[in-house]
Amino acid sequence: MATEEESAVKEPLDLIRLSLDERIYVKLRSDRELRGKLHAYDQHLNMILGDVEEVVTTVEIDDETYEEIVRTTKRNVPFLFVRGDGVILVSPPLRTA
Amino acid sequence: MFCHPNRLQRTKQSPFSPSLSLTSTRAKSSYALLHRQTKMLFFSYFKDLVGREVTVELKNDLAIRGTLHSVDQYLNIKLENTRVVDQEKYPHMLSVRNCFIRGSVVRYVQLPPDGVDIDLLHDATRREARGG
Repeated sequence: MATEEESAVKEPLDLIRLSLDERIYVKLRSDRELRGKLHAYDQHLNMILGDVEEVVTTVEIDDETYEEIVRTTKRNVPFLFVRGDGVILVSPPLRTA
Repeated sequence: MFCHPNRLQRTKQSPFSPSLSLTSTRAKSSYALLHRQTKMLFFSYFKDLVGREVTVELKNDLAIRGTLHSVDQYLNIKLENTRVVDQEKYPHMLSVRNCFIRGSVVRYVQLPPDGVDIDLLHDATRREARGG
């Protein structure tokens, strides 16, 4: 059918289009991750996400014991614009629970 | 540059959608009416958000809260009535009330939750994705 041409998945950005209005996982630079509902995106991967949880991961090295302490900081934002140049990858949410 | 008078007439309109003028509708839904617009989705969205209070978080972790005054195609942002979010940690902008922020240094913009019509955003994105 000719109309199916419009929703055919041809390039990677089309895969993201399938996730519109769905929850997604976004990996950003500086060890940040976002989980939220995808409302808008463009070819630069600028995005607007709703109901977002941001997780920032930091690794501290103890001066004496030299052990690595991994800390995560979480934050919730109701509505967020994300600039595309910080995005590494976009995916459906990972099942970690 | 265009030198034909006929060409000059045409360039007054948006080059992306010859039938729709960029400034024809100033309503909240204008970004969805830019049917054949590509590369302009977020620019149009932010133009509709002018006058609202937003928090811009920069790549250097500085967060600035202010009223969105204007935006451009590069998503450079002008904020008015600004306050730094964590004033103790970042004292160097205590007296700054208006600022211009280069688009490339922005990490996030925290938006007002009621500032959007989500369905319009979805429609505009689907059109933009197809056209891009």
